Amino acid sequence: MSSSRQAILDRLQRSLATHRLALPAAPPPAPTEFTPSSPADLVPRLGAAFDRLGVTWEVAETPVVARLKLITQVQERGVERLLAWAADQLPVAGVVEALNVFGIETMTPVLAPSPSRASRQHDEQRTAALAALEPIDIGLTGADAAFADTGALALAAGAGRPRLVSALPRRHIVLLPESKIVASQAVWLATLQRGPAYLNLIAGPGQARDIELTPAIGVHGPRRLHVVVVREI
Amino acid sequence: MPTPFKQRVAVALKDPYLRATLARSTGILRRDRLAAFPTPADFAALQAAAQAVRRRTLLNLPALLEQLEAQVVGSGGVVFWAEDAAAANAYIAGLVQGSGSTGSGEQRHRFSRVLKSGSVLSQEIGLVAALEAAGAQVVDLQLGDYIAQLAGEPPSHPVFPIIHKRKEDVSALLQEKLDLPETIDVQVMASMARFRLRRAALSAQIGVVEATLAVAETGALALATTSGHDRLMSALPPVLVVLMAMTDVAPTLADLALLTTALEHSAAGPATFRSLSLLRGPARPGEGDGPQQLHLVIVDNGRSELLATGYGEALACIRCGACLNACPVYQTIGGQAYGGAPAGPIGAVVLPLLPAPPPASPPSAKAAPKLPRMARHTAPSADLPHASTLCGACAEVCPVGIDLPRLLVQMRSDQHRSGRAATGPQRSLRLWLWAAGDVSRYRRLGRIAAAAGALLARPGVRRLPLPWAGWMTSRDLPAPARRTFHDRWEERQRRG
Repeated sequence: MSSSRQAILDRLQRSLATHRLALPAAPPPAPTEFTPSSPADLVPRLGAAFDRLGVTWEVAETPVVARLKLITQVQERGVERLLAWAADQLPVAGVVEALNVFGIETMTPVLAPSPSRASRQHDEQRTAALAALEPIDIGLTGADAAFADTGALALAAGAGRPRLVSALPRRHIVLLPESKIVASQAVWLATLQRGPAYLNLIAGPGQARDIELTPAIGVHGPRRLHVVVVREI
Repeated sequence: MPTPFKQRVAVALKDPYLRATLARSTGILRRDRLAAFPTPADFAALQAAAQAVRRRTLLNLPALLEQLEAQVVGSGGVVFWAEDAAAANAYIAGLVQGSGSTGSGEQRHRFSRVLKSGSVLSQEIGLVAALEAAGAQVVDLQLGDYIAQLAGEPPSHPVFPIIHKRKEDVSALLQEKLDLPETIDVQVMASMARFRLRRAALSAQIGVVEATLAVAETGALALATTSGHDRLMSALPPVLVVLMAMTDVAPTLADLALLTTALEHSAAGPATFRSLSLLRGPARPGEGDGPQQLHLVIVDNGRSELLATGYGEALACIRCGACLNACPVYQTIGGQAYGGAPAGPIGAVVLPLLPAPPPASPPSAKAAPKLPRMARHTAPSADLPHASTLCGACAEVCPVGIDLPRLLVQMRSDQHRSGRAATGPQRSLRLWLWAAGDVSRYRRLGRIAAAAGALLARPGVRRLPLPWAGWMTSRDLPAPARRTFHDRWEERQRRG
């Protein structure tokens, strides 16, 4: 392995010594942030981007209103169980308790790690555990950022923030504190430090345009993405 | 043995729907691309910036690759450097069979179900055949690739793999292979496929994805998708293998932001990619899901040598497909006629220069012999540089400024110099040169050619006599004027 590495790097060095590539032009300018006329401008801009992407959204002035809006969303679907980030990872306090009061359970999936020695039994149990999660209709998460220019949401994985919650269900609901809205995706990405093991930028429900370029929504992930923007946390 | 290019073209031209389907679909993509660039200046600015990043990357590649490796290893990942297709395939097949660890019979069962995403690099190295030979069952998660897999066909486009298929064809295929009810509603077909793909995703033991780009500065491996299956790939398989062509590095996250924008705007306009995953190593302790092992396979496969030739700039390609969508030849023959990935103008340059995929064999077998330098101008892809009208539409839309027409002309010229160019046209040109050297000789021959042409250019005549026998295999013979220009000119002069 290390010999392949050295051979490849040596070959590259030799090739680059005699390359015939034209030298690059001046380095590209750093991405520039557009200046919103006021921070209040960010919500309507984000909302317009959401509209373009087919994301539904609403604004809650307080956490109490946010909890009520969430419960309405869940009850409209007649759902009794949802996948969710752990309570301490959700940006609005008391969400899990409030859902419980209305008889709605939340579940933060934890898959058993694969043993170092392979086992058919473990594989089957794992598949069965995933198959049991699959029919759950709603996934509830927070977000680490939302971008007013592209309408994308950034979700970092971590303890209490399983990746499956925003990937498996048919409907994804995001609680987004207004303070997490930033103007430019490119600027935010450029200034990101190393970050988590997994960062996902979600720009609306997935859209497969494979068959005659006709958009088909939610072939893999959620079909519906709903954002509740919470003004005061 | 793959069929020669001209035969594949003949098959494509006989397809009654191919050209209409491609004209429509590439037309939509060209329109969507234009929507991203309201003025030519908008495109020029993005192109200049993206081109500068790609050139800078290629010129600093050794340092960037070492930086990337250090970051990936530092975040708990494993890096494998594959010199060629056989090495990459053997490494992944080894993971599939579990031979990297104890290699018992139980291990063999363990990684038999492979979930795959991305088709350009895996097609280049012949990955699926190699994994199947190693006993794996491979399912493509991306809808277009999955449908191509069901049809037993290679994909025909880097972003939209079944752009050549009509929805009626897809519907018939899903009815036949998956016993699904008849429908031509695309959303219904996609929902049916969702059910099947979910089942494959939930039981996958190993995932293989192609990186869109990898960020050297942070070690983040970026996967951009239209339908969001990168999320399932990042969450579900306990072992995740990320395949990366060695040139697909973005130095910084700012460069990644720029290049993904250039890529999606050129592919099909803004918001083409609905999901972008950035993976830094396996899942951390305390996470409830995500891969427990993450392997990055850096694939050379001829690229390090290609940089020394005059064709290095072709490696700046970010696989947006814009040159395919703009190309009149691609729109006529489709992607499969190119016999590899990527198709279109960029494929016409790259496919003859990179080694063909090795024949599938068990990974224990000896690696395929390495192709000698520039062995690459060989059939079945040697004709590809000629599959261009040199109209320049590809160069106009390339977001990283690859001068494809110049590279195609350079390849034709290289083929001529190495004696590999077809000899027929040269002989005909020599005959013309001889004839044009003398006025009366030229007129006599002109009359003979007109008479012979009138005899030959008739319906029913499908083949010319030697040495022009090859002419009509890929062209029509236009009927020449019955009388030569000189004869008519003289007659006019006589009449006054």
